[in-house]
Amino acid sequence: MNDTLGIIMAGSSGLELGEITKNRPIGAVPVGSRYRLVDFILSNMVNSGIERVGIPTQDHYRSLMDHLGSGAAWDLNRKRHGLVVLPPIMGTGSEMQGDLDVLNSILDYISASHRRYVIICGSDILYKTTFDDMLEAHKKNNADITVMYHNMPDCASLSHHVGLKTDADGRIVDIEIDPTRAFSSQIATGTYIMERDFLEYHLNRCLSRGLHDFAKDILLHEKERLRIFGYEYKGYVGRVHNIASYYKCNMDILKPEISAQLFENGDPVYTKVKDEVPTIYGEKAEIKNSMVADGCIINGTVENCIIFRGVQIEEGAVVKNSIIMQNSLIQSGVNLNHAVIDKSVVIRKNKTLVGQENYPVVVGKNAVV
Amino acid sequence: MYSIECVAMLLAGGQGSRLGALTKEIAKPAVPFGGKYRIIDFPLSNCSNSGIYTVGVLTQYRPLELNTYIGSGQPWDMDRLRGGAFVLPPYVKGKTGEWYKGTANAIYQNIPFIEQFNPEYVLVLSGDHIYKMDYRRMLKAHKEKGADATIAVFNVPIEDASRYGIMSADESGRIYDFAEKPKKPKSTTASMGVYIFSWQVLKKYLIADEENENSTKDFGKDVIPAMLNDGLNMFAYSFDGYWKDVGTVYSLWEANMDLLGTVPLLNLYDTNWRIYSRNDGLPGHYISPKAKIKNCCISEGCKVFGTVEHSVLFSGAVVEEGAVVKNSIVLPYSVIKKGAIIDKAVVSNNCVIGENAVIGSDQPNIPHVKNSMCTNGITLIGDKVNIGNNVRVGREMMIEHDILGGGCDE
Repeated sequence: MNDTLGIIMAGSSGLELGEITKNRPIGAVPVGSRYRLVDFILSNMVNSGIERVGIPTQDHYRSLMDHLGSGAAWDLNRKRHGLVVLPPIMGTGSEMQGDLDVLNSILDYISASHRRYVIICGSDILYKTTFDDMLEAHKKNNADITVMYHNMPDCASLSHHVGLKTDADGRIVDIEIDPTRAFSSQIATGTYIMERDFLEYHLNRCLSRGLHDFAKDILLHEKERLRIFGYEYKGYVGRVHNIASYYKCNMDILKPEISAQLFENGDPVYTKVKDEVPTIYGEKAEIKNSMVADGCIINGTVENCIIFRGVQIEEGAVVKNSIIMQNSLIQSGVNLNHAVIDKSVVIRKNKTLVGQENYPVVVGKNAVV
Repeated sequence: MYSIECVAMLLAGGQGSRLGALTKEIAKPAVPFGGKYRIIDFPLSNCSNSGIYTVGVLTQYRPLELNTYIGSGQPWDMDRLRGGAFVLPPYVKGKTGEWYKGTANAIYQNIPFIEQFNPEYVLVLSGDHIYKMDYRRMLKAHKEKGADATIAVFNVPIEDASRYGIMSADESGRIYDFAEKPKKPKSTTASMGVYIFSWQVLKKYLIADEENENSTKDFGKDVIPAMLNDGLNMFAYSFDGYWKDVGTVYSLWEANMDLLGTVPLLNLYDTNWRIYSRNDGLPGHYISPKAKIKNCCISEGCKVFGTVEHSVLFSGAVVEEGAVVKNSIVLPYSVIKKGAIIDKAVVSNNCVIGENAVIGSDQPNIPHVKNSMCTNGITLIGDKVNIGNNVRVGREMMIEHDILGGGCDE
């Protein structure tokens, strides 16, 4: 897929995940013990042979730039092509009203890529694949746009989503955006393939008419005129659009069949390398059903948890059903259940924090409890 | 002319024959250590953390894996515009190409490499030791004393002293005697195999040593004694941190065990002195609901369904349900099948230990042939070895080939 330009919409910071996304875009949200959400999409691209990836950002992009660095961890520190983080252009006064504005702001980067195809991905989603089959389907269908979707029978809980209906050939015949009651279980993953010329033409057409939204103004309005096809992704898809779904997505990774799909199908998921020491467990450690990254020192009780790099859990602490991010310290006698602890948090001795499965308690970055 | 103050030369060509099956296909510096590292990560990371980014890695024995591992040097921050990490195998020169005949000859053959950087000092290291050391401080001492050579030394117990090169130095640190593996050691300060030389002095002695037909072309045996004889300014630089020669199966096992405990003997939790390594991109390790884990060190990509006690699991190792691993090290990607027991053993890379097999058994059911390289009760399973179901391997054995049958009980 060398002839394809990858674009990852890193998103803007907001309060979808409460404190977790207060100061970081969704793509920089930590997930699965040592990754950020963007690692999965970026690795999918690299594993597909895409050599040129642009990541337009909007605000609070420092954590993302810090994570991505030169792109070396994804083998994208290339002389030609490679990974480019594209911060917003300051001082133009133009508001980003929709994703088309974001794409338009990097139009020169897109044009200069000279790739024939463009694949655009969101970063509020987690799945593991390569895009070769999708591109093949796109060519075979002679499609203008190919939209990846997955079947999600229990989609009633989704707040933001694009629902699709396809005919027998896979062509998209109906679309609904953010319906209060889902009309189809075919849910778009925010992954689109099209030709670069096509994208450039439609960016110009939409923006000159005051249209700003890819899904509404291209997919929905042009669905009769354009050949828009669906491409079903059959593997695991984790969607992260609020704190409950973020929590669920992490807990999904603890399931062996899902973790096998994500990490054992041959292609690695690349991420920034921190050179942490392997994790040390002490005499008093009791640990069950958990995923633990390197660099931790654990001497307490841990059950059903995702533990990130450099976490310390002292003797006598009991941590259950929780997500503990990088470098946090859980002191002795602490009791945590259904908690999401952001980076570099200290939970002092004998404190108790208990949330609920659909509403975990969240402690923001650098807090001391 | 552009110059680099100090160039490091890392001797990584040794076979490490006392490591037995562990070095059958790889050189000793490439042997895995500490869950996710290889031995060579320690001197390379020390160089990087000491600001020495020009390192020649001298390879000879089985260099392929080491070449691939070092690559561009990027994991150690050595992918530099000027300098960097260089793998230096012996090469043909006109009609006379030859192997490295000894440690001194290896450096001698690379004089042209060193001269490219026009250095004032050359740091000579070996790729066999586990330690964290700031070479900058040693270089500072070398300059302050106006030394021709500075040799890092380490205090060893008197009963072990005859295994090392032993230095005798006066109060100012000036070395007046050196003996390689003496029967009656005169002191307990042993050479760590870390030398700083003023380059012009070293070059002169390397050339002279090469011309001396009686020389064995070795630093410890020939070059250092020759320098002492000539009364050069040679100083000992004492180091008091953790240092271990992992030249034997037992010492390798022991050094791995030193990582255990909440305040381990070998503490790698220093964010200012990280040990870097090439990363396989594995997810965090997974501990299942039925697993039992006590006092151990577990790396990324491991999966534990059984019991692990007082052991080190390397990247990607798998311990299945009902299996027990204690007092052992399991190297990358090895699989311990259901119900197997690993007791005080070193299991190398990519091994499969069959169901209900026992490694380190007091009632072996295959012929029990002890191997002299496996001392202190350690059993060694070599790379990519498959041990069949129900096979019980006795203690202090070294297994280099698959044992699939023979495991049936009479």
